[in-house]
Amino acid sequence: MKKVLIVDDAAFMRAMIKNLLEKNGFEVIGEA
Amino acid sequence: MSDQFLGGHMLDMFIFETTQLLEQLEACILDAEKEGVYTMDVINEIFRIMHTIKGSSAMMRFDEISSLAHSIEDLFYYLREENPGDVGYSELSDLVLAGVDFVKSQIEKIRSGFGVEGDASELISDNREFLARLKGQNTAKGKPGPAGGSKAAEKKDPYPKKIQPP
Repeated sequence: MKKVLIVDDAAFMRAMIKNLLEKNGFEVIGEA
Repeated sequence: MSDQFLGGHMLDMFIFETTQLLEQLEACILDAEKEGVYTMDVINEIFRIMHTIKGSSAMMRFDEISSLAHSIEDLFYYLREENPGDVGYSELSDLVLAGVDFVKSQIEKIRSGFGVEGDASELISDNREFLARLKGQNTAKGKPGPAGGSKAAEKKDPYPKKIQPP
C-alpha cells in the first residue's frame, strides 16, 4: 500500500484529503 | 463521497474551523481600522483566511460562501501584488465585514439544520466593482494598468509558494 503524508494549514482540508486517500487505497501515515 | 460523511464529522469540523477563521479575520480588520491602514501582514493574513474558507466551503458544496470568499480573495490578491496607493480603507473594511456577516449567518443556518443557502451575488458584485475601481485608479496614475500590469499579474501563479503537483 502506498504511504502518504498530508501537509496543509487547514485541519478541515487535511481530514477531507485523508478520507479521500484512504478510500482509494492509500495509507495515510501522518498529517500536519 | 457520501452525504452522510459530509453531514457529520466533516460538517462539524467545517463549522468549527470557519468560525475560528472568521474571528481571526475580524481581529485583523479591527487592527487595520485602528492603524488606519492595511499593512502587508494584514493583507496576507486576510488573503490566506479567504483562500482557506473558499476551499473548504467548496468542498462542502456551499457555493455561495465559496464564491464570496473568492471575490474577497481576489481583492486582497490585487492589494498584495500591486500595492496600490490610495485605497478606500473604510470602504474595504465595510466590504470584508459584510462578507463576514454573510458567512456567519450561513454558518448559523447550517448549524441549526436549515440548509437553504442565501444569495451572495450582491456582495460579490460589490467586491468586484471595488476591485475594478482600484484597477482603474491605478491605471489613471500611470502605473501599469489592465493592458500591461494586470495581464502580467494574471499570468503569475497566485500561489507560488505552494508545492506543485508533479
